[in-house]
Amino acid sequence: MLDDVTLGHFTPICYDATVVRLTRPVLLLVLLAGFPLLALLPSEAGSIRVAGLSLLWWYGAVAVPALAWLIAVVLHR
Amino acid sequence: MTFAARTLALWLTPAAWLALPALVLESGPDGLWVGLLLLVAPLLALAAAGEQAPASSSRHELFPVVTFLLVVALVLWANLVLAGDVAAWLGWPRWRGIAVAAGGAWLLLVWRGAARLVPSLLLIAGCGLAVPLLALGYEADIGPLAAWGRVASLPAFRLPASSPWVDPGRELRAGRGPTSLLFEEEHRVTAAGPAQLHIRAVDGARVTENDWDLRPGDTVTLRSGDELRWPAGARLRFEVGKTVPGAPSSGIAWADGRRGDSAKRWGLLLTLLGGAIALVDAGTRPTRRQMAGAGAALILVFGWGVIWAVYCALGAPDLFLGGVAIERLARPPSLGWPTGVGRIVPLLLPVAALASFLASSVVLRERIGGLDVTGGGEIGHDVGLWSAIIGATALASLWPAEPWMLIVVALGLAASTLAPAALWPLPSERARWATVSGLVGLGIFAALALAGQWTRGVEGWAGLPLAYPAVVAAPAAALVLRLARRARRG
Repeated sequence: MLDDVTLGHFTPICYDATVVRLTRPVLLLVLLAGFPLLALLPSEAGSIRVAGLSLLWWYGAVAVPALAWLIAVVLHR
Repeated sequence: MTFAARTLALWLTPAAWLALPALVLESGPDGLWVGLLLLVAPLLALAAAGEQAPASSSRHELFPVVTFLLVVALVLWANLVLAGDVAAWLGWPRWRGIAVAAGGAWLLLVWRGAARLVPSLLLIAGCGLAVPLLALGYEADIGPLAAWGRVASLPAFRLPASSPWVDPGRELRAGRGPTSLLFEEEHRVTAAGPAQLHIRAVDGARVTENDWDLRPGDTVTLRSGDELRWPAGARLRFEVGKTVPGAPSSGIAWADGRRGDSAKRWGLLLTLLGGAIALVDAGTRPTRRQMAGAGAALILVFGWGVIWAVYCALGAPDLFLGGVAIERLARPPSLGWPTGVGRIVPLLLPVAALASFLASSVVLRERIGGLDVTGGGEIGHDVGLWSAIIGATALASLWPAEPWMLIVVALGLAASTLAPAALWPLPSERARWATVSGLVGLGIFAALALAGQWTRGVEGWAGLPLAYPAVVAAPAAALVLRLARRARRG
């Protein structure tokens, strides 16, 4: 099944509704799964500080919320 | 009632949103994981629910209504326990906090137009959360990012001079405080009133136990490894500048967290996700704007929780004393608050919790009313039924319990019994199979939850079904539904 979506002044795009239906929950789950996986990286890679915050905290406190919101809203039908 | 307000009130009761900073404070990244689940689970549930046809199969069945009532009763219980704990922490009798919260919920039950109040109640709650946070940031004169960096660099969490446990001394069991303390360095403890202390000292292989009767002003010195116990009512003073018993060993240890808890993380993921799928109305089809609003509101609460925890770790490390209790986060003991009119600021958080609880009580009733199509949603306004539920949960709340664990049990129950049918609704002619699947989920959930009480200490993946029974119960219930669906096709 094909559907289309218009985002502001952008050209409408066609997409497969079935793919989008699965994409949104799967992307959110992948986003979540990244957090425990990042914590398990060897050599404590998640503890590396970048701009005052560790990678794990950047991912969990900033990246996941922002990306989750984008996925939930932009891919919303 | 706006969609965002409804979602927020349905999902984030005070026992959930106040647990977020408490868990971040207690276990750093593990707490952050809980916060992420609280944020993403409803978005995921809405994403899944929006794709489903409106659930028709379960609407004439009694089972989902009864189970939902049980889930809501557990949620109310958790929040009334928290109300009692916060009251005790603020120095009031425990019953008074429970009575205020339960009485408010009952008054909104009697008033039919209460649903119109929900956005206003949540606005009050939002202000009650935002103002103390802004005041704290202003007083600390440091941004959240810099505050995190400072906390994560602390060599140890030490008792500040402003702590009430340093001067004038305070009862440790106020609220749901600890019953024992394990010391990691030499520490002089002074009785602020008459106190009977029990000290368990470990010296190599030799263990000695001593009882001390202290008069006000008497002091006892504990060494590293000593464990202190005391009866309720004992007021003690601790030494300023000493490491806080029960706190992480350093800021780095707090920021990095513990490793090897991945089994529990996945268990909590499935429990909260299933709970969200059950709580969020499967028939809901939010617009993009509604979704954006609900997501933004969830992110604001998540951000508040994380930043509140970081500021508390920096300004009130005595919160760690004997382990972090949720109610302490409602009014951290040693934070520097503004003076003058600003003295009301610390009271705003308990007010926010009360407003949020009242909003949730209305929305949860409306949600159950939505299941009762044949009765026109009347079950959500049944004064007799809800008076009994509120009365019973208020009575149960007089005994201390762990509010967050009650929320996890409620969501686990919802995940095991209601979520599979919400995800894969059956046509009305096979609706009884939804009940069968729910009963299977309920039976397995109850059996594992009971078994978990007698088999404590089983860690890792083997202990996962006992710690989070929904990881087995929900798939089993889903399997019954799948078989029923396949049988229909056959």
